[in-house]
Amino acid sequence: MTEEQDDALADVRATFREHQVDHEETADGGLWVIVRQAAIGDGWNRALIDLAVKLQVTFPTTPPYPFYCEPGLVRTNGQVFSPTQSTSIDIGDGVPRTQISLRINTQERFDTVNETLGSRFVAVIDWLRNPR
Amino acid sequence: MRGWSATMLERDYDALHAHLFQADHDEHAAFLYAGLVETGRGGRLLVRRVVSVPDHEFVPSDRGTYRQIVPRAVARAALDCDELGLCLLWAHSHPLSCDAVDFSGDDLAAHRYAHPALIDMTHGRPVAGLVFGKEAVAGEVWAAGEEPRRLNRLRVVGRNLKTLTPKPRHVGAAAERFARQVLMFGAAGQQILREMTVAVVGAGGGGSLLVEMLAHLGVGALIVVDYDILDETNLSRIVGAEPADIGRLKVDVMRDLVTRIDAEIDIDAFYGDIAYVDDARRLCDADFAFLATDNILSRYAFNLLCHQFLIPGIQVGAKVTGDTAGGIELIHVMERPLILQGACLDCAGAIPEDELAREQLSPEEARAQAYVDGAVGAEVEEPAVITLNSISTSLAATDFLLMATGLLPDEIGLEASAYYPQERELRARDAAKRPACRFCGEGDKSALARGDLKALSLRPGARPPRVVSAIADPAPRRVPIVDRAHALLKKVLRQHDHAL
Repeated sequence: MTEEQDDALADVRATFREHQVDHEETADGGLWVIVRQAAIGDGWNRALIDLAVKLQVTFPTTPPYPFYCEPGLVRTNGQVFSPTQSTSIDIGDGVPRTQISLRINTQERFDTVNETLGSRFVAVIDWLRNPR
Repeated sequence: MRGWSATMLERDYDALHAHLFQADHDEHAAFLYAGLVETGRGGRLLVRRVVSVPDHEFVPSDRGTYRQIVPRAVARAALDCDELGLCLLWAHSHPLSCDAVDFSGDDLAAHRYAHPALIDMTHGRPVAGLVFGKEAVAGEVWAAGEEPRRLNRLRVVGRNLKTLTPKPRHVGAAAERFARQVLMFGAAGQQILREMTVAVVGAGGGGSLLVEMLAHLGVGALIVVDYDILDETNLSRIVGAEPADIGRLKVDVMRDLVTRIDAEIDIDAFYGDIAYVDDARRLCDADFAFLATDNILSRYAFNLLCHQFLIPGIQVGAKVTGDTAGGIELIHVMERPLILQGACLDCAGAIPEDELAREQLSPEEARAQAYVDGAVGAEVEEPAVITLNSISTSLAATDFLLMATGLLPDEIGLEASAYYPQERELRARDAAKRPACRFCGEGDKSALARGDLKALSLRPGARPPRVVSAIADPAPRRVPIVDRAHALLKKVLRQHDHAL
């Protein structure tokens, strides 16, 4: 785990004190960070998800993107949003996931002065609670 | 451990020198906080911060020595270093010394008295004492469990590379083969080149030209790293390659090239990839490095490596951009010096994060992201022409030569240069440094000068060995730029529109 990944993981743990936060290192130097049982509000076919992101070894030069949760996350009213349209993908490890392709601050690099991985998780959860 | 050296940035050296050698011609002192790298060739202290000791804390000693830093200032510096995870160096001046300097008996006694405690206070990291003359430095490095060792040299990294030693070095006569270039930079310059270790990352079109030029210049040791196999299409631009070399590792071809030019050069040409920690660390002993690859991940790794280990370097590249009509929109070559005190490659926008992220995706991840973010096509071969490579590499090798031999005039900057052959124009590309940059910034978390005291943020291990497969790799897609007449017509029409 790089120092930057380690700091980001600590930040997520500090941000989500009430949640279990897991991590898993990958062979290419990546790091999965998973916030368990995040509440995403009404309107989805589940109220709680395990929200995950894979930090590349080059993080934070490469931003935390995309986020993932369990496969099959859909709106109960059938509405489809672009960031959550990939509801069952396999990124090569045989685990099906919903991909949450949400870009925050699309024109800017990951701003480590004003943003942390914890705040990015919060932004993704906020969007899921109020998708648009 | 073969010996110790130190490296510091020119701006820090200038600030230190100004503090140590004041108009009062008295002794002055400073603390240097330093990172550290240790290899089979020895240890190198990487100065990250200079903290001047105010005169009221550098006072006549109660133990009979001329001056000493008050204990509370030493303790404060040791605690600072420990908190930052750095090594403590303390320096003072002998203002009457010029190109030769050494410790006094009192200085060495102070080391014996203080260094064991300072090593303890900084969690066992080495501690060093330095004494500066106006153009010389001597040092004594104490490491836990070892006898004190003398510092061999201090390298100052800036526009001109400078090496300070305890006393002037003997300059021998240069070999006859270098007679014509010695007329330009002297036997001393030739000796500097002969004592240097220079790394070249990438042994393709650009890298091979650099290797050839560095070997002819008489650089003493070369490190060349690449993981690619030479194929037939490389014969148009990899110098030293012949048809019989097809199927060989490019680094093996480079080793042969160097040996043919000058068998006395120490050449370490190895299969590897600086995106991996173990391969990248093999460059730590380099005094200078060149990057001549065409991927962003190696550019990221190079930028990190240069700043974390204070290795000055230059990135080179050539690019031919096609337009939508199949013509040529732009030809340009780039040369980006990294003297480690201005904007780094990331600050200069040369490490686009989208491309960097994409290069690291598995095919499945790329497909999944392409579904939302747009198509990610098969690898497309870019145009590559030896004449373009030769422009950027000649600019780079010449800048290196001027920097190494101290021939860059003070008033000349070392910004990135872009040359546009169709316009016959060379333009400087200035960039601003971001204070919070994780590579070149001075925040506590930046990589600058931390060496081994920060784990390299690269892929673990070494690049896996090549697997010889019975199934050939799919050939990259070639999109030739062919319809130049069409593009020219478009250009003429566009000009006509403007005229109207």
